[in-house]
Amino acid sequence: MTMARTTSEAGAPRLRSSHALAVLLRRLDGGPVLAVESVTERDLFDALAELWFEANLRKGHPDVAPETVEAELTPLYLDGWSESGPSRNFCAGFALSTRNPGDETIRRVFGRSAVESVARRAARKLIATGALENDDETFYELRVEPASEGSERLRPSALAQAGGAPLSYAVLPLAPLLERAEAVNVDPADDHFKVFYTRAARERAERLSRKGGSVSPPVETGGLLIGSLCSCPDTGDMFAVVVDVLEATHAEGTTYSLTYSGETWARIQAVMRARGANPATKSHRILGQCHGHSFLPLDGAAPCEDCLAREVCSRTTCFLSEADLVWLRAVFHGQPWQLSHIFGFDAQGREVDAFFGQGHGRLGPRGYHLISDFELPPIPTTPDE
Amino acid sequence: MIRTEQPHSSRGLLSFRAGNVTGTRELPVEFGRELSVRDVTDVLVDRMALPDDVSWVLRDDRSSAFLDESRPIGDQLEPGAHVTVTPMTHLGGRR
Repeated sequence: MTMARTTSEAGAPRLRSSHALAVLLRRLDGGPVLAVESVTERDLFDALAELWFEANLRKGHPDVAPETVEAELTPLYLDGWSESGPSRNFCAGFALSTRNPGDETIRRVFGRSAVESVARRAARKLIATGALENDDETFYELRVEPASEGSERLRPSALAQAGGAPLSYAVLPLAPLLERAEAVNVDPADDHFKVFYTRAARERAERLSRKGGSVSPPVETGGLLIGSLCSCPDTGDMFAVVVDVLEATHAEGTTYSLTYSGETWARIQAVMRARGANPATKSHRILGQCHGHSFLPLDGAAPCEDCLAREVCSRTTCFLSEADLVWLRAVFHGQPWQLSHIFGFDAQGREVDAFFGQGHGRLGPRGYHLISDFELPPIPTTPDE
Repeated sequence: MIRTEQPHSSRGLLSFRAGNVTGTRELPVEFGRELSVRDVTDVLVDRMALPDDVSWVLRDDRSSAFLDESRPIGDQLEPGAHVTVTPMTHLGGRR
């Protein structure tokens, strides 16, 4: 059974909280607080979108629009600390909770790393004023403060109308796909949504990402992962299927960077518009990105002494850099299904790769399922399309 | 609909559509023609709830060209145009 449906996306749940959050930035070697940066509701956009996805789209309610979701924020105090204790107000993270149309209360926990971008913003401001050097190492804490009525820090409805376009998804049973899939680095204990990757798309992602490694000096190359979101009619879960990779043509690559140009985006958008008009590819969307880190870790430093004895070398270039994180947050803001595939090398020069996805407000390694092929039957367009 | 009309503008309003690079957000908008592209961009970033700690530019989808942020929007776009709010940032390999 396959069909396409749409609901709105990209708005965000409305947030209720009797608390405001702020990030405190300090130098790594201690000392006074350098900056206090308020956490705004916009800073929580990705976490709120993840709550919408987990509480509704993965619970059999794919048509719930994000802006209709009411979310509540609860601070998570550090062990032994509390709102009334002597070291009150510092917390390890926060929880967001909401009730879905099935009357289930879904609670999602987020660590401090979910607001790391706020700490980076505070650091950039200090660097701009000369109060901090680029190389200075800092750490941050998360502080909770009672929010006054009409607080500017958490604006309950500020994100309700963010121009959300309809979310297209296919309706497709999950079990038959799992039966014929090969799990790659899937941890059965994790709670990530399922991602399927056709072998052809996986191979194309690697080929395009490693393309820049064949020139001298090597440059970064890559592309965008294209596929569909699917809702399982049996389990109510939502999953993603990556079926293609669009090469980032006309992009500017250097050894340590990849910049999409206006022409890059123009071509990608033209292709996606064409796919949206084709019944066979109507549900295709940009699900993520891939690119190569075509250089050796630590500038080619020799492997550790015991490296050869290890089955897996943990020193690799398969990570999301700070620049990657900023780019991903800008491009995939409020899209909790976002995926990244990085192709690089380990310290012995062997080709390795890592797959990343969003979970609990941060992008971290995750697995996927390889399938030999995937094809959705053509989806008829409606007369008004 | 966003209305940011300048009361003393003699050149009227400019209507167009704006979206983000992945196509998940789409807005019909209307601005005073005299407004700078920089000001228009700031409003759109705010309206789309995009991260405000990233540099953004507007790209005219017809020409693929980035608009000059210092010049008025009305000098660079035709009515009914579509612009993409595009992040001016890059992927990178350095930690």
